[in-house]
Amino acid sequence: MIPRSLSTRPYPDTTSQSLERGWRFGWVDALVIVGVLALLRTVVVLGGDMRAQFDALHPPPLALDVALIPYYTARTVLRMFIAFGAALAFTFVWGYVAAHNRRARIVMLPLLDILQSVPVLGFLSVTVTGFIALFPGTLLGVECAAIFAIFTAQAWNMTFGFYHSLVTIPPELEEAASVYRLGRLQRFTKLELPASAISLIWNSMMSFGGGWFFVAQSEAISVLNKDIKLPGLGSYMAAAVEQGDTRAAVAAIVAMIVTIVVIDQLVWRPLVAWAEKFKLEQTGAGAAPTSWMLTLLRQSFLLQWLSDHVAQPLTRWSRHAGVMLGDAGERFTRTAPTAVRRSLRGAGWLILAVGVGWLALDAVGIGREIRTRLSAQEMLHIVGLGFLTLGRVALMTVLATAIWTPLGLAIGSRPRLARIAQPLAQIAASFPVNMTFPFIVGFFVAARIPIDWGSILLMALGTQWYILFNVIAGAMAIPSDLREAARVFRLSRWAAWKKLYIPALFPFWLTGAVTAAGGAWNASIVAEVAQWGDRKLVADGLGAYIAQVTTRGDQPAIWFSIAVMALFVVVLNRVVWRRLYDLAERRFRLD
Amino acid sequence: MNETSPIDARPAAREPLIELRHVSKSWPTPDGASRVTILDDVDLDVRDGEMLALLGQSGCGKSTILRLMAGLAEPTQGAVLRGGEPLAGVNPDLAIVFQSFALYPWLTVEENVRVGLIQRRLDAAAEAREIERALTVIGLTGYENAYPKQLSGGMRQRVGFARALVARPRILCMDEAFSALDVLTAENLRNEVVELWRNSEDAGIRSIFFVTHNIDEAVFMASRIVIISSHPGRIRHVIDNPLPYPRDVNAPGYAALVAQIRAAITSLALPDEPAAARAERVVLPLDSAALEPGSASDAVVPTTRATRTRVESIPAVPVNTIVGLLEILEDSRETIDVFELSDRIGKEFGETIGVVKAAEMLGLVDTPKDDVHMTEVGWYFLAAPLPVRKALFKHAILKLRLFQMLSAELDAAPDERLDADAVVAELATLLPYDQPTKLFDTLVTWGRYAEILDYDEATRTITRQHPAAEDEDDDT
Repeated sequence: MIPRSLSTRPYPDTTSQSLERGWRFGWVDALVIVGVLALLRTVVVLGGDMRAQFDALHPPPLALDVALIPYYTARTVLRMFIAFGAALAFTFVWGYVAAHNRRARIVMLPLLDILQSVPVLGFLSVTVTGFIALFPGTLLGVECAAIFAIFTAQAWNMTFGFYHSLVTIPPELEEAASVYRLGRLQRFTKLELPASAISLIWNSMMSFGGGWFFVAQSEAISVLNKDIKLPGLGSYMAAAVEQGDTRAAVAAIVAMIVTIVVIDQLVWRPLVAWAEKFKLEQTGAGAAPTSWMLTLLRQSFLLQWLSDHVAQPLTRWSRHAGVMLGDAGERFTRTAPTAVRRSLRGAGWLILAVGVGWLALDAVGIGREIRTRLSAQEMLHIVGLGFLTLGRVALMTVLATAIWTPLGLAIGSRPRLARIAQPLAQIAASFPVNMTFPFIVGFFVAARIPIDWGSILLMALGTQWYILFNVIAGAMAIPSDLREAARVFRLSRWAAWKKLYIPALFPFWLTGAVTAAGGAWNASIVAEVAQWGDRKLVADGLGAYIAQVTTRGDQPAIWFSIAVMALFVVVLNRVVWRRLYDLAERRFRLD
Repeated sequence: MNETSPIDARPAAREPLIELRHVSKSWPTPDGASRVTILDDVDLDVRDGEMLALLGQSGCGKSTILRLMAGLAEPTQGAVLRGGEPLAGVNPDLAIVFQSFALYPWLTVEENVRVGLIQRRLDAAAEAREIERALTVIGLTGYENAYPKQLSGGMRQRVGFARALVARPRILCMDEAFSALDVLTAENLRNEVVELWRNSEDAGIRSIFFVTHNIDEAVFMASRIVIISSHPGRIRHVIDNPLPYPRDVNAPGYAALVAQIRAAITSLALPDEPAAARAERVVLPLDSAALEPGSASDAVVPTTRATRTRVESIPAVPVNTIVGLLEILEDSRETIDVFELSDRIGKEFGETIGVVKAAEMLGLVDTPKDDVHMTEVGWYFLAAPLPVRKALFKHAILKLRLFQMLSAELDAAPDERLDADAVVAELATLLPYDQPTKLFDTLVTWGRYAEILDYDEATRTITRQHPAAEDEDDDT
């Protein structure tokens, strides 16, 4: 028998209809409960382990037992999620304030741009010593430094994405919110958060993928000539390589791939599929992304019950509270004496000024130290190294473009192939390829390839995928009538490239190339120095220089070389990428 | 201002809910160098119990007036009064139904309607009651759990109405609420809104203020109609509409009122004696050889500062549209008025006027009263091959002050190059009521067609188009 409500519904089924199913508690609910409990228990145990005692002179050894891999993986994953949570919180605060406060924006956006250009890996030594001082005697300091490194790899582009979606919300949706006098909280939950959900989720996915590289790197660090290894998959891999245990190394790589795929399936795919409803277009066309996990969760009676009986009353309560708070806030701004308001605002500026002043003093101190300890010749040398690394990054970008653009176009032109290849390319981009560097370096040694050239390949391994999957996306977006027109007018292959493919792919390639080049700068710190057994290969380049001074703990040199690299990145962004973006915007927009 | 048909004796006694007093509004231009005036000295009030229509062409600042009333924008000069007091912040008396619906696509119908309730802070049961009532009144029951993207345009706009109703506004505002809907759906909704307002006990809507470009819509619905002109927006006529509800389109008074409003609008947009244009009406050149591209017709150009009296703006109309208009006129045997014309070409009235005005400025048509007919030049233009058309077009636009000035500046400029930004800035000061960038684009389009100027987007420079043969090579 069909329930009446089903047969009379005048519109297609929607997700919130699950209440109308006849049955109740089922196996999905059991799975949900077990899953949640297991997750909680794991987090508690691992969190306890984080505070393990640590003697700086005798770092704990890492066991290479393959059976320990799940434990190490869990530690690494936990680190990733803590960092991601912090990055998310940062995104909300920074993006929200930048979007709403015009004066703050003037400072916040350029600052974000600079932060984005700073090579995170170079900072590890500085942050590690800082955090160890903060938590003496436990591994927590090192743990925090690793989490901080991952955070810095994740936060910036999420923040930019969030800010951008906030300021591009269609004006009439904003007006509707104003006319119906939604308070700040409701405006956030009803309008701003949903409108930015898709961008937030995609950027999170990309950031999380990028984070693996840094987690692998930051778990095993040598600072002040000491090797510190946090228990985790990255340090396990490092230990395996040190001890020449190929079996353990391969197991670690497999574990890494499985972890990336599982998190993709259990976290990101469901989120992407769920976020479909936040699309701003009012038409429901095109193939929506699907997720078996989401389908499963939607069958859970327990979750539905929680949503109806806990979440909804909570939102109503918070809504009323929000209205009251909003009213109170408005009354305050209307009625509070100017003196109070002025002093409040003054206090805000004072805090800001103290913060900025403190940072400035710090910078002056560092600057003075750099001037006294680094000779002008050394500084010039560092800048020269910067140009060498720039050459590598440029060559890598050109080579990856030459190889992957035709391939990406070929894949993107075949929709069925593209649907398989694109997620694969994304997973490849997530894989922390620095885990495999030692093997490749071994090959370099055997084949007598100098690291000065080989490091280009090492950089490319991690970053070329961004070009590939963006080009695939671009190829999929070429309207079929443009392709057909090229066929009808019998354009030669070269003419078709010149007239159609290059202009159409350009904006997509650009997005990929910017990400790839930015990643390559960071990667140079790990790619220009390589170790294979006892042999240490060092290329001439800024990345290698930073890596070496970091190991030595030479603070002024660290600060200066990092500043030089950041400067290179910022200038390149301004001079090259920004202009290319303008060009893409002006000439090659497909609409 | 002319007040007509003083049938309704009550309005004067009724309390104004919101008033605009000597309100002007201007925006800075995108480059920030100057300002475009949108509204100029507007006086307007919405009175309790009335259904007021604000009628004008698109781009005349109607929506800005609505946003000023809602407190979404602030006047550059003048005051917005609510109950006699200056309005501070968002006006709590208003609810708006938007042209684009402005529904939140991630919320269901019911949740979208609930947005209108947030400010009222009701308990769960009262909320449910209110929503149920609004959905019943507006005919949306059964759709509570649908998402907007699953609904047709008409149903989406019903959600917009339901959201406005639950807010219990003292004034329900509609911003071109029907113009994104198809004709049948719009007709149906208009009827329902009139019924809502007439049965204000049920729906709780006593006063309605709506903004429209549609004359029929205003006459069919409104109890008072305010006509606003564009560039800049100024209130020109206030007309009471005493026709009894429910209104019958075939009632004798109805057609008369429509005709009266049409005449008022046409005389605003196409004055019978356009001072500058008429004086220099293009005369058909007897020697058509003179019209060959690149020939002596350049000789007409030179103007002295003495002849530069008033600069007239040009409507943003593509050349092809003007040619299309001539072709339609060629097909219609007898003279046709602007309203028939806008029916025939399927454009809204305001747009049609723009096209006719452009053609008139070029001397291709003439518009005695509301009628449009082709001039001799128009006929000649239509019959001519493309090069002659272009020459005629060139001849005509070089009679326009804007092109004369541009041409003179090009001559004076070193290596005959003009910076686009400088030209835009100059346009902004010359014609403060126009969007300078839009005007610039039209100048370039017309100039390109006439082959008198070219524009390089990469360097943002205007140059002369040299009548060399290279252009024709490109075309083949």
